[in-house]
Amino acid sequence: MPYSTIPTGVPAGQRYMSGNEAAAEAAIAAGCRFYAGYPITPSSEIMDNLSRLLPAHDGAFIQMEDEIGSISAVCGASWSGAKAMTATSGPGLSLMQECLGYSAFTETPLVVVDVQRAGPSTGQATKVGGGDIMTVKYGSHGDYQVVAFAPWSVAEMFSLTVDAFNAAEMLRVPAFVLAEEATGHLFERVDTPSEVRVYDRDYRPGEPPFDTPELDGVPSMPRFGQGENLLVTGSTHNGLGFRKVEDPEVHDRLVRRLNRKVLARKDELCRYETHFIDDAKLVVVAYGFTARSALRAVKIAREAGLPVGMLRFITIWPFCREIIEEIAARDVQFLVPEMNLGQVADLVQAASLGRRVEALGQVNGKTIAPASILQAIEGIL
Amino acid sequence: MADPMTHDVRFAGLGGQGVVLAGLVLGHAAVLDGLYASGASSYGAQARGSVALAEVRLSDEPIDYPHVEDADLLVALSQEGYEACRDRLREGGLVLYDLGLVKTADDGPRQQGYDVAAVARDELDSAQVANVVWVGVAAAATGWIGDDALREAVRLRVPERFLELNLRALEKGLELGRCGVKTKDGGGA
Amino acid sequence: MVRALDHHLRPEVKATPFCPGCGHGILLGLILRKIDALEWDIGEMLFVSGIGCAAWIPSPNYLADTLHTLHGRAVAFATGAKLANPALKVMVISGDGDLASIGGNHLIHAARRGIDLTVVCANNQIYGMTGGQVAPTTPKGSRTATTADGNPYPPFDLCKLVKAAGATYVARGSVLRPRQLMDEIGKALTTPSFSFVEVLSPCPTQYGRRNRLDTPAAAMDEIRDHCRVRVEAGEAGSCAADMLLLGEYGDG
Repeated sequence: MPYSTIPTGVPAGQRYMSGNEAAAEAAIAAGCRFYAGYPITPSSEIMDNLSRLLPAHDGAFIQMEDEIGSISAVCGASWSGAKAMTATSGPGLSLMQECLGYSAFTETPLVVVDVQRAGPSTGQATKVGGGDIMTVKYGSHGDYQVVAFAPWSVAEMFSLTVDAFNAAEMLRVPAFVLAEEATGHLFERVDTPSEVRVYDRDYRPGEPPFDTPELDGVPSMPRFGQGENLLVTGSTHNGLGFRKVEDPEVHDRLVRRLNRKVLARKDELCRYETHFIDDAKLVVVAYGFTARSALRAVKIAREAGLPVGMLRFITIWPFCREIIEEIAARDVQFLVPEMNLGQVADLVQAASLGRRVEALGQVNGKTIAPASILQAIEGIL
Repeated sequence: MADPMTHDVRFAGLGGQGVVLAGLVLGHAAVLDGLYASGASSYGAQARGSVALAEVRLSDEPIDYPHVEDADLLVALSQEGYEACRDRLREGGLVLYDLGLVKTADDGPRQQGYDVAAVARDELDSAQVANVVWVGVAAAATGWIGDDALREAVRLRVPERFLELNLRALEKGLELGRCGVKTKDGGGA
Repeated sequence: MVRALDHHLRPEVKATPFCPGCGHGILLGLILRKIDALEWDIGEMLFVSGIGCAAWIPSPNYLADTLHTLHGRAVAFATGAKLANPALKVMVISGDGDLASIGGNHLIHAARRGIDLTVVCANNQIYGMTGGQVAPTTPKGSRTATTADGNPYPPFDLCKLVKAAGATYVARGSVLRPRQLMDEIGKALTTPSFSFVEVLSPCPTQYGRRNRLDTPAAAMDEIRDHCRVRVEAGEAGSCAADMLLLGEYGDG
C-alpha cells in the first residue's frame, strides 16, 4: 500500500484555530500543492489561508474568475501531478457539478471542502446549513460514487481533510469534506500532529490509466509529462482513454467499475462511532456539528435514566446502511436531527428494516440546540 | 448544568467594538495556558451598529459542546449587548459592564462596573482598544487565565502596527481588574 | 506530405472525424508541422481542448499528452495544469463557440493574467457539432439553425477582444494561407505569456449549406472574400464591417 508518514510542514502542538484555518493547514500537511478557488461565504478563509501557505510550501495558488474555472483548474492540476483542492459553499458547489462528474468519470483525484450554509440558492449566506448531503453525491448526472466525510470539530476539520486527500488519491475520486459554517467558523483547541499518514499517488508505469482487470479496481494514476501520451476525456473511454461512444460494453464496464471501486471498499471507508448503544431503545443518529448537540442531549437524557444512545456518522458517502441494519435488528427507534429536511433520515429509514425513524429537521439558519434534541428524545421515550 | 471545571464567557457589544477579537484573544490565551477552549462569534447584518457577540468556553478538559448557553461571565461593552444577554446568565454568574455606556437593571445579578471606554479614550488615546482592556479586566477579575498567556495571545492575534498599543491596553485592563473599580453597589470588588 | 507527420499521430487512429471540406484537418497538420520545424519535443507538450469539432483536433489524433475537457473549460483546465507543472508547454486547441461563448470568461481572464498558454481558436463561425446553431462569431445576417432569418447580432472580433483583455501575442490567420498561419502559430508558441491565434476554417456542412455555399470550395472562397490582410487594409487597420483582418494584432 503506498502510504507514507510525512512531516506536516505546519506547526505542531496546542493550537487555537478555526475550522477553516484547520482545513487549510491540513491540506498542506496532506501534501496539497495546488488550490484554485473563488470567494464564497463561509468558506473564504480556507482560500485566504492557502493563498499564503501554498507559495510558502512550493505550491501553486490561483483565485479564478468563478467556481467553474476553479474546479476545472483543480482537475487540470491534478493531471499535472499535484494533490489539488478547492473550497466552497452551496451556490459554488452547484456551479461545480459538471466538472465534479468529469472528475468522477475520468477518475481525477481532488478534494472539495464544502462549508455548508443555509440554502437553497443564495439563502442566508452567513448562517449555517446542512442541506448539501445529496448535492455532493447526486449533483451531477449519471451514476458515480464519491467519498464524503462530516467533521464535528475543528480537530476533525484537520484530520478529515487529510483523510479526504487520502481517499481521493487511493480511489481516484472526488472526495468531500462536508463541513458546516458552524465548524468552519468555530474556534477550538487542536493538538496538531507533527506527522501525518498520506496516500502517495499510485503510478504503475505502462498500465492502462482508465481500466483494471478487476471489475472493482483503481487504475494507475499517471500524470502529464511522463511520456505516457495520456488521453484524458470525459467521453466514455476504454482503458487507454480512447473515446468509445458507440460501444455498449465499454460504457457498461466503465460505469460499473467506477461505482464498484468505491462500494467494494466500504469496510475501510465507512467510519462511525457509537455511544451508549448497547442498551438503547432509541438511537439518535447524527453527524457534523449536530452530533455535538446530540451527544450533549444524550448524556443529559441518560443521566435522567432514559435508554438512549447515539450513532455518529463520520463518513456520509458511501453511506453505511449496514450499521443501521445491524442496530435495527434489535427493537429500537431512530431519531435523526439534522439541519435539513431529512436527507440522511431518509437514508436511515431505507435501511431501518421498518423500525420507526423520526426526523428532527431544522432549517432556520441556526445549529440545533441540545435542548431541542433532548425534548425530542423525551417525547419519544 | 454547570460543570465546575468549565467557564463560559460572553462578550456582548455593538459591531465595531472589537468584541470578536476580545473573544479570540481570551480563547487563545486559555490554550496557551494549557486549557481547552472553544469560541464562536455572531454579529447582526450591519457591520456597525448591530449586536455582536463573542462566546468562549474555557475548561481543564476537552469540551463536549462548544457553544455557550448560559454564561458564567457576561462582559457588556454596550447597552444593547447587555440587554440582549442579561437573561442568559447562570445563577451566580457575574456581569462586568462599562460604567459609561451601560445602565444595568437594579435587580441584576452580581455586577461590577468599570469605566473602560473612558479609560481607553483618555489614558490610551484610543477608544478602539477598549475591547482588549476588557480582556484584561475579565481575566484579572476572575483569575481564570495567566497574564503571560494573555500577553502572548495579544502578540499572536493583533497586527504588528497596533501591537504596542494593545499590549498597553491589556496591562491597563489587568490593573483595573485587579484593583476592582467602582461597582454597582458602591463597595470595592 | 502527411506521411512525414506519422510519428506525431497515434497509430490507432486511421482517419480524422472531420467532414469533407472542413478546414480543421489542415490546421491539425499545420500545428504538427510547426512543432517539428521548431524541433520541439512533443513529449514536453500538453494539448487541452473543450467540446466541439475543433476539440477533436488534438484528441485522440496527437501522440502526446492530451486533455479533452468540458465545454468552455479548456482554458481553465489548462491554467491549472500549467501552474501545477510549469515545465509543460501547454497549447489549447478549441472552437469559437467553446472558447468565446461558454468559455469566454475563462478566455479573457487567462489573457488578462498572462498565463503562459498558446490558444488556437479554430473559428468556423458556427456551432458545427451540434447541428449548426449561431455562434458569437457568426457574421451578422448569416443563416444558422437558430437564426433562420439571418443572425440579428454582430459577432465578436475575437482578436480585438483577447488583445484588449491583455494577451501578449494575437493573430488571425486562415487555413487558406497555411504558410502565414504556420508563422503565426510558431510565434504564438514561442512567445512567453498568453498567445492567441484565431484560425478561420470553413464548415461546409453546417455553415456552408445554410448560407448557399454549396461546395467546400465555395465555403473557402467565402473566407477568402471576407478577409483582408492587415498590411493591405492600411495602417489604420480598419475595414468594412463584414470583413476580417488577417495578420498580427500589435499595440494600437
